[in-house]
Amino acid sequence: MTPPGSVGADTDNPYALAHLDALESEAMHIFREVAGEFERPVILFSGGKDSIVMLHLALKAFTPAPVPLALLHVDTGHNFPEVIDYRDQVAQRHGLRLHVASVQEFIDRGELRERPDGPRNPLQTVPLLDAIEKNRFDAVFGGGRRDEEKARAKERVFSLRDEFGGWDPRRQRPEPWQLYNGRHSPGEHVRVFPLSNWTELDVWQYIEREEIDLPAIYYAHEREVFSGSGMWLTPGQWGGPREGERTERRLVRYRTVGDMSCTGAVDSQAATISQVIEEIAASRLTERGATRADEKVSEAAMEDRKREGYF
Amino acid sequence: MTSAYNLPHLTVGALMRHIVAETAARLSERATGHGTATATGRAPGPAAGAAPGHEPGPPSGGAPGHTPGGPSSDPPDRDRARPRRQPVKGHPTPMATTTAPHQTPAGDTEPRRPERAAAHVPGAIGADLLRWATAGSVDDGKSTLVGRLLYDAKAVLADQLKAVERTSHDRGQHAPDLVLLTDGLRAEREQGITIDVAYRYFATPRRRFILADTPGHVQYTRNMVTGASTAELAVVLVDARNGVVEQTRRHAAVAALLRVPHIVLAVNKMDLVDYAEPVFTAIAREFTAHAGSLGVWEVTAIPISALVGDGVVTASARMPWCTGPTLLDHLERVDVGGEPAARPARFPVQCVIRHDGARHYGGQLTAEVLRVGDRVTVLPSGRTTTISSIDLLGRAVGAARAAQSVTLRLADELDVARGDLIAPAHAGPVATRDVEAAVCHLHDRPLRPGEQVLLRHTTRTVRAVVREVYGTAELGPNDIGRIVLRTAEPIAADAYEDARETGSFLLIDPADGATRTAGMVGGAPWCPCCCRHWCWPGAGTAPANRRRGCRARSSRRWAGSCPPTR
Repeated sequence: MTPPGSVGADTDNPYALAHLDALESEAMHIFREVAGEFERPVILFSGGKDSIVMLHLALKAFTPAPVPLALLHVDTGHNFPEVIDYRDQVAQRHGLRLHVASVQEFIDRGELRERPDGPRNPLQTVPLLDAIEKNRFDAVFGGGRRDEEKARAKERVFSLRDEFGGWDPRRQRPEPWQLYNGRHSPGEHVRVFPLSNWTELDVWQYIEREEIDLPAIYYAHEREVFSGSGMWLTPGQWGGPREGERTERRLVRYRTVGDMSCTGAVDSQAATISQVIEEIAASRLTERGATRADEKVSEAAMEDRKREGYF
Repeated sequence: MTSAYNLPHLTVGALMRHIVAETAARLSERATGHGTATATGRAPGPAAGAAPGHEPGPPSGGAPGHTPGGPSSDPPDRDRARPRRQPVKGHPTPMATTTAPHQTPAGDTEPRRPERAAAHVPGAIGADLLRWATAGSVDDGKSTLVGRLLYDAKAVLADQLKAVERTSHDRGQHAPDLVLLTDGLRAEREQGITIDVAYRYFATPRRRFILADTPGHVQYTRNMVTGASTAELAVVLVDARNGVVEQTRRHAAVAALLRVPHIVLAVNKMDLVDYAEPVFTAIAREFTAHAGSLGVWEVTAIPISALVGDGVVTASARMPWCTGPTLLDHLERVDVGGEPAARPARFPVQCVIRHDGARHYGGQLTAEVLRVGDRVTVLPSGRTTTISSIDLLGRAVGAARAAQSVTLRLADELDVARGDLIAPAHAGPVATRDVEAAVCHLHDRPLRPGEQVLLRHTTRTVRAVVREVYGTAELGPNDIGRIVLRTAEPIAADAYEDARETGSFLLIDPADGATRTAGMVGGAPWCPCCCRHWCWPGAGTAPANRRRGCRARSSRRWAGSCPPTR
């Protein structure tokens, strides 16, 4: 079987755009709509590949002028050091204002409690909403894609959040054509998802085409890991390995980048972008299924978190 | 058929068990006498059997010496010789594009032109990317079809399948419920119905697909509007046992109203009618005639069994009378994407990017081509100037084409802002403050004459008042109707039938910002005076509408534009 990655190499129609151009153009349209309609937009930037592609698209959308957007990172305190370095370099290189909302600070102040089972991903919601409110951000770009998860498949490109940051899937605004309705009352904000129609493979093909730098953990590397929740986790102060679990050195890479306590690595030999693309095209697991321990909890885990204001 | 990839026949154990269980249930259903349609003798030909783009041929009264496969409750033999996939000369193929019988409205001697239906689609779309939507009523197997396509195209991966199995098991079901693949919301799973549009992504070696999986329930018609608005192709699913029902007509009407360029009729559950060609042909004929009355001139009808897999991805040995493409073949090959220079260029200005004292206008070209040196008008002000340069995301280019996001610079210092439209000087739309439109009301709060609203057209938002709602006192949720608006400032709109992007608009509530109504500038493809009641020639509700009487029928504005009633 030809991998789907080979799609689009040939098109007979001279008027048609190749699919990456089409997706890119759509994302540009979304960025410019936000720039035209909102006062204080911000990009959620985690240093993960989706947010990196999002920033790359934003830079292109407003060229030759600088990007009229700030960056916001919700730091769980358990981030990969390579990713934090990357984040700081990018902000500096493009002269962007970087806001950091720290989960650790909230825990230290007693406003959040560590979960007994470890993962800090669900704890990000409170610092995120706090940062949005304090900085009066009215449009918040997220790198969420509809192919990631069932609840996300139902999300609009412009998704209204109430003053508590909540998402009500039953009261979403219809979004026909490309007419995005970003009207909101004071205190409310709109989450914007320019990568809605991209798949994991699209993101990687775009990274290859645009020669975008990524943190090294996206490529195969040797790492001390232990098996937990059915995936390879990096040992650390967040509670691993437990007794009876042994660490071992393996050749792995990360398909997603999140909180180290619940983001798993996959066995991989893919050291280059094209090898990664080959590997994804052949994979029998979804990106989140392979790498996220916290979403195996329940069928509606993502919907519930989104309702509370998660990404 | 040459397929570049081999598709598993749902060989994963769990899915296989599901299908075996379902098939067994159906076979026992059949044994009790249900669905024993027999087909003997000659199969009547389809409504018309012309290849796409050809003149409609005469209705085929008798296909020479050809009988359908006939009823068979024997287990299917997958290794039987495959039927030929090329249409046989002189034998109209049931799956070839059928063209609606030509209808001429009363008092209208000009034949209507088929290309009306082929309005361009918004969004940046290439020939290797197909946006399509499904529509069908509850229980006609839509989710099964989507599940099968996703599975066969490798878009359902092992962990998703496992999650479905786990949930099905937790609920005490013996087989995995494929609906769980697409119904992502808690409320949907609880109620067992699809409420909101779900977007699905999959690819085959030929094409990528963005599928808007839309709900079938009447009260969620508004969500079908969302899904169909950007689709280039809509699949309307029909249960072969039930034929064309009220919901089928409604879905066809929504697709026609939104000018989805390609309509596919998928006659599902052919296994339950013994793969009988006459059943399929009768449904295809009825649907095609109905679609024709809505102004849809091309319908591709395909017989399938989503559960068993016949005609979806692989051709069916049990339907040797089918010589056309399978559903996936058609989705892969249908001609979409860019178009020849049929319409003048339109460039709604999204934002002004200032740099080094220069003003760059950012936007997405919605049609045709703009070139450096072109004379253009800026609407609604009407001033003309020349394009001095075009940048494609940082790279200077000589021309921009449809669906590209670019920045323009103009030769003269004009006052150009977000909401303005740049169009060729010789072919710009007329800016107007009076807008007549077909609308689909989306919000629970009804729309009434005299209401103040915000009208969002391309990148422009203006205040407007609803002057008139035809044929009714108000439009409720999911209602389709015709309205007249008066705007506070002019908008430069095209007719929706000419251009989806510059002919569509939203009505927004000025108080809470809610999206209330989706609007299409210009005429609906059927009798505008009573479309609220879903009245069209040949529809079951037409006599009732005639009894109600359509006030607008006497209106001078619409006199003579109603298609003939039978």
